Amino acid sequence: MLKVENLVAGYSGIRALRGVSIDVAGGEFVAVIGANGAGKSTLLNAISGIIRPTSGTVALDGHQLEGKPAHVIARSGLLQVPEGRQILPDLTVHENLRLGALARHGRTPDFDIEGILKLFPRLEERLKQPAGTMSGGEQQMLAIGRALMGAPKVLLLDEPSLGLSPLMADHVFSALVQLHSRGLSILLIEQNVHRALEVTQRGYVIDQGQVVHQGASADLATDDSLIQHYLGQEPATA
Amino acid sequence: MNYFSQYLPLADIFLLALGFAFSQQVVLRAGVFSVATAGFASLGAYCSAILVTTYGWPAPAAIAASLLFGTAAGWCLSLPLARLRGIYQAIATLAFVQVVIAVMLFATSITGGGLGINSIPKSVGTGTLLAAAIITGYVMFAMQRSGIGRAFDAIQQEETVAAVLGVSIRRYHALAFTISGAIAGLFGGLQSLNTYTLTPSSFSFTFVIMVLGYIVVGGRRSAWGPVVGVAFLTLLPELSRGLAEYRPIVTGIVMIAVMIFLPLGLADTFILSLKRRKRQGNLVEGGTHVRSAS
Amino acid sequence: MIAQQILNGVITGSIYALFALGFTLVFSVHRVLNLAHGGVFMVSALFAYYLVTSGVSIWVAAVAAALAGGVVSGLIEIVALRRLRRFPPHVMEFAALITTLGADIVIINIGHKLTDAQTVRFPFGTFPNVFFNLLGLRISFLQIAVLLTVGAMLLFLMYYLYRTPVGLKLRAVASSEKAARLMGVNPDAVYLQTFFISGVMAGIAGVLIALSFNSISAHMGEPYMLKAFVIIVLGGLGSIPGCVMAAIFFGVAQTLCVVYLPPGAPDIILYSLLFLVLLVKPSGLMGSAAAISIVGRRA
Ligand SMILES: Nc1ncnc2c1ncn2[C@@H]1O[C@H](COP(=O)(O)OP(=O)(O)O)[C@@H](O)[C@H]1O
Ligand SMILES: [Mg+2]
Repeated sequence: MLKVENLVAGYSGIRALRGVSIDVAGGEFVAVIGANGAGKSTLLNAISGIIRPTSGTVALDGHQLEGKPAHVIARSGLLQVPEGRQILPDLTVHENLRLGALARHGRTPDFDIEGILKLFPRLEERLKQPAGTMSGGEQQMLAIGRALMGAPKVLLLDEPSLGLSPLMADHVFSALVQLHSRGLSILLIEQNVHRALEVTQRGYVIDQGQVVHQGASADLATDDSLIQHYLGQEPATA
Repeated sequence: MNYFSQYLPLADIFLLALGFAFSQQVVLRAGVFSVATAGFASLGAYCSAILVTTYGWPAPAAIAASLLFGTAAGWCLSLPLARLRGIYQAIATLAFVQVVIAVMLFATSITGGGLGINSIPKSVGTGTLLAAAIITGYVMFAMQRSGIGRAFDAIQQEETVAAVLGVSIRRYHALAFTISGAIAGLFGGLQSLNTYTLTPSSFSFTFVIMVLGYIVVGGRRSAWGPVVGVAFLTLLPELSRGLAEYRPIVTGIVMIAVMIFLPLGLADTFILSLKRRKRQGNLVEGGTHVRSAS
Repeated sequence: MIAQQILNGVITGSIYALFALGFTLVFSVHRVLNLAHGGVFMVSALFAYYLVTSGVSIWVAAVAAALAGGVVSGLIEIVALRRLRRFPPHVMEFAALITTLGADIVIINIGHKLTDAQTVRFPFGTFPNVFFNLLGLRISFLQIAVLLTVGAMLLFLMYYLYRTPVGLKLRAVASSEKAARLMGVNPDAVYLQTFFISGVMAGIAGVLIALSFNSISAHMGEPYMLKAFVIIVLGGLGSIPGCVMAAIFFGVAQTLCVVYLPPGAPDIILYSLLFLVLLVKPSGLMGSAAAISIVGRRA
């Protein structure tokens, strides 16, 4: 479904991404994990067209997308929930969701506003209030809901659990699991390695702009030395 | 000899413009978006003109008074304005310029109102202007190399970082305003004693635009910036007769083109590319001085 | 007497509002002060003049002039601003002032050449010269047209921004360009539309103001630009209803000052007021609640 090959990208002089290849099959739930500064956000932004890759290819359903402007990529069904949520604080929750629908481009969505509210019931009573007045967790739900409104073929998420309370993070992860079970293809970027590997099927580990490991999430999760080495995190005890 | 005297008025225009350009550069350099130079210049010009015509002061004393008046005005203005930012500073200083114009128009008994002050004795020649420009330029160069220049750079690039480094932004903004007022006051005084007449519209919005244009084209950082900018915008169209008629249009186009293609301005871009080349040269030679140029 | 002065002030203020609305719209979406707005305004007035003198009716000429304003304004966006958006915001803010100023200089001087530096006037009777007496107040047909146009523009803008999908995109870009792009919004198209609308508004304003004073010259935009600064600050930078309120307040204050104070004094007072408001309450006298977007770059 989504096929990224040898993607190279950077910022004036810095090569943050040095030839990354990943793919996400239809209906698959894939994680990309890596330490802070490994190049995860750069990878998503290069896929989404927020930064222009210097070389490499991005294909969605066989259509080449690399080098296209971000809004064209979004309309073709590759929708990113960016790091830090980036909801529009001055617009109401309802308006944020309507904005998401603008990316549909003729595709029939699995979710309308009703559906989103079923997935995230907390948003219901907030519908008319400015999105910026909500808690971080609610904003994250809105950001995911907004992307779903655009009928994504592949949903890209950049650290959705960042800065959330464990309880809120649970809500978010369980929503993702639910979406996956409904057949949505998801690429999840996380630093919360254990949670990410719990819910996903496959995972990539990236370090200094390169894929250093890949495999079934269950296998990666049990590879303590790998996790310690690349992610500097304590292995899960239990 | 003849050849030079033919260009004398042009030399005067160039030198006066250069002075005002220095005044504008000081504030922009420090990250202050002020267009108050026109107001300071107007105050300085009226100060000298009135002292000379009404009170019969000798020219040097009048010009010294203009310098002091400009300095004081710059300092006073800095008190409220150093805490504003960006567009707000620009609009507030524009309001200041408008207030100065309105006051000059209003206080007819002192300033002559819209008719201004005429037949001011010409006591400032090209030589004096040249001396003033050279001294100002020298001060600017010296400041460039001092701690003040580095502090200005730090503020202009990243205010939060500058604050963390302990650079007091407000103090340096105030300093920039004051110096800008001093230079503009001085050259305002020189201009009124150089050009016979003075009206409030001498320092109106058009003046603001021209002076901004000098710095945009020349560059905000290097002391060469004003020289290059003024030369480019005043001398080139004057010397090439055919263009003179289209001078304002050319100015406008140049302002757009420079901002888009060379946002640092001609002089700064040139200096930066020289440094880059030098750095690369060093790298090839063995890389021991790689950082010296930065 | 004073009631008549206040009415005159409201009309003067509405004229300022005509001019300032398009200027505010661009500022609220782009955070750019389009200094060429006065140039666009002049172009439209001049264009309407040429059409009228070549025999076109004023109504057709006004529509054509408004569209011409939109096109010129769109060109300014493409030529003078589009390429600046790759710079970080504080650089862009400065650069945009300079490039739009450059554009203004170019436009004004082209106008200067076209008119031979003369002031031109619409032929007599271009606009029906009719007066009404209402409750003892005298008001002309043209003045009523100005009031109605301001009202219509305000309603249109509010409807457009808050009730249409295009307005939603526009507010999204104003709030966060990156997020908007990720939702499939093309920011270039949004900016171009904003400039087009702003230019159409400048165009309508240009024609109405040229008719009101029956005088068109290359520099006719400049005094309005300066007043637009005052208005945009008083109304709260970026607030559209605030802009109209501030413009009318400004018009009334100015008219009363001109009547009751010696000449020259009104400008001193008004610009000092601008200065003070910036220092004391940079968010504007009219409050900023209605600003379509509050991008985190306040004073
Ligand atoms: N806007 C930027 N400008 C310059 N360098 C950047 C920028 N964003 C990220 N980087 C650099 O690129 C590298 C990868 O960053 P990023 O993709 O954000 O990492 P991650 O999301 O994995 O934490 C880091 O070294 C970071 O410093
Ligand atoms: Mg990241």
